[in-house]
Amino acid sequence: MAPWIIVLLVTVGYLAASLVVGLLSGRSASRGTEGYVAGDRQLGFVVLYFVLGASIFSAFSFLGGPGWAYSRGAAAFYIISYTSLGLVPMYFFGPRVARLGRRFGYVTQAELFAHRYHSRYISAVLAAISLIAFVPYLMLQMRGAGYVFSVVTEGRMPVWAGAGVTYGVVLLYVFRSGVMGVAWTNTFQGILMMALAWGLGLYLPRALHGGIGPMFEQIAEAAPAMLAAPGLDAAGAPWTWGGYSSAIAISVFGFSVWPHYFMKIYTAESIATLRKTVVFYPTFAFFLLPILLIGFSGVLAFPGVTPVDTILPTIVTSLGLPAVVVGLFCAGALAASMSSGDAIVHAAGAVAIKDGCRTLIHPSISDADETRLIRWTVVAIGAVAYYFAIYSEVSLVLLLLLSYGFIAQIFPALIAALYWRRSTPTGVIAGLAAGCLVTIAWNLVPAWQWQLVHPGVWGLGANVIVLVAGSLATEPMDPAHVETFVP
Amino acid sequence: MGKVGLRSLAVFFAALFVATMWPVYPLVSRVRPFLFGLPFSLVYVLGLSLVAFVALLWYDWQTPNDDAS
Repeated sequence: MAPWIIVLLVTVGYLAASLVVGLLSGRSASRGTEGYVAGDRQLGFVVLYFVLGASIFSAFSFLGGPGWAYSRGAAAFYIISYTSLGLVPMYFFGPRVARLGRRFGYVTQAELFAHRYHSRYISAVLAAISLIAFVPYLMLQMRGAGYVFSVVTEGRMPVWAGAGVTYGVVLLYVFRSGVMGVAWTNTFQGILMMALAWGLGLYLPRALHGGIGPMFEQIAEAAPAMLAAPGLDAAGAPWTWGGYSSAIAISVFGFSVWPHYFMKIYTAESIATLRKTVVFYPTFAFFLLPILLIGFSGVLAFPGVTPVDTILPTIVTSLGLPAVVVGLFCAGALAASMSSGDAIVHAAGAVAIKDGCRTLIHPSISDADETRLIRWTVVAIGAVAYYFAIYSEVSLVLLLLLSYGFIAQIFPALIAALYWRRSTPTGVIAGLAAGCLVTIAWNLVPAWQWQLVHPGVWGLGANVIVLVAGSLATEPMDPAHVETFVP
Repeated sequence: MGKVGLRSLAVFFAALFVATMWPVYPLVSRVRPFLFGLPFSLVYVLGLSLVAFVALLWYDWQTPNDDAS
């Protein structure tokens, strides 16, 4: 049997296993919106840990992480820093959000804001920001999956078909099982990815350089700038400390308020479970270490690989490994794409209907109709993202830069909602708008760049100033109502 | 632990956050010495991750289950 057929069979076997796990897991949740979106608030520690952790193992980290280490060296260390600190804010605000969610029945992020500020416009603004940020990430995951299949079949299966098959499976189990399908497949995928990452991260430096220590010694002799932060930029020139530091800052501020992460607060079976999950989350930084080791192993052994994100498949397919091992690697790469893509498409469907449609168009919709609408919206958003991922020429880089810049703008609004009694809906909406506009402007006008600081950081500055000024300039809210959120 | 403990933890993590970037990280971002086969700049980042984990674990272990909001 030709090696590529064995690789394809292993990959298809993984997809079939994911589908079975995803479809079966939906049986344990109720049929309403709370079951479909929040899993009846019954997720335990292990599943919640993997749900949040597997999302970080996206196509970006599994393929892009080695690419960063390979081409930019120590610049990739920022990924470890933001992973270890990114969820920490949730330790502070998470328990309060979880209690409010149980008390008032929230399942999305914007429901908390809409209630806190008595404003459906906040809900609509947050829904718009979330969907704008979600779609480019979903497109990236789809392109990653399509690329894996194209490599597996040595070009016999085009990218559009690979992405279509993979996300057909994802949409099936998300449609059927909702967050429970996402949760249990992420647990399965997370264990697979960790095993593969550590296996390859230890094997490749040894096979190519005689071990991790000798590998770094050789790089230190040949290219010392690769091993000291801030590393290199995309063009191979020294990166700036402004770029490195602001990449961590914008990632840490944005991490815990990404709606598909934030909504998992509502799924925890208890406050203790939520806290324990956040406590153990920094351990995922250590699971990212082998991802970087893989990239470093290619620096001297495989010079000049382009695009740099293909360094991992290039190494794996160049070493003459058994076809089953190559197949498992492909399954791991698909798992990375799917474990982020399923959580994003599920959250996007819920946000579009709960925060957009229900709030602005159809407030009296029944629970059953709402759940049905969310399911079909999941499919529709998946189809739109697929179309743009395959057929659009739009620049993903710019969209992804905007995505994180936009999402980080929610952080000041959340802090104000939970910790500042004097904040008002006008101040929060004006702050969000100012933050997003400044982020767009700094992305579009290169002359305004300074030290390569992430545009979202300037957006955060504008956001905070306008939020505070706007709140102080408008009537304070009823103290009795605010007391519920800011005790 | 109460609110004072939680605020102290927040200040601690703000310091840890600053330690991952300019102006603190440039002071220690160097290739040598190698520890466990890894360059010092990477060991430093991994060390901060370990500190973050241990600090949260210790605080959570000290805190009763029904507070911390």
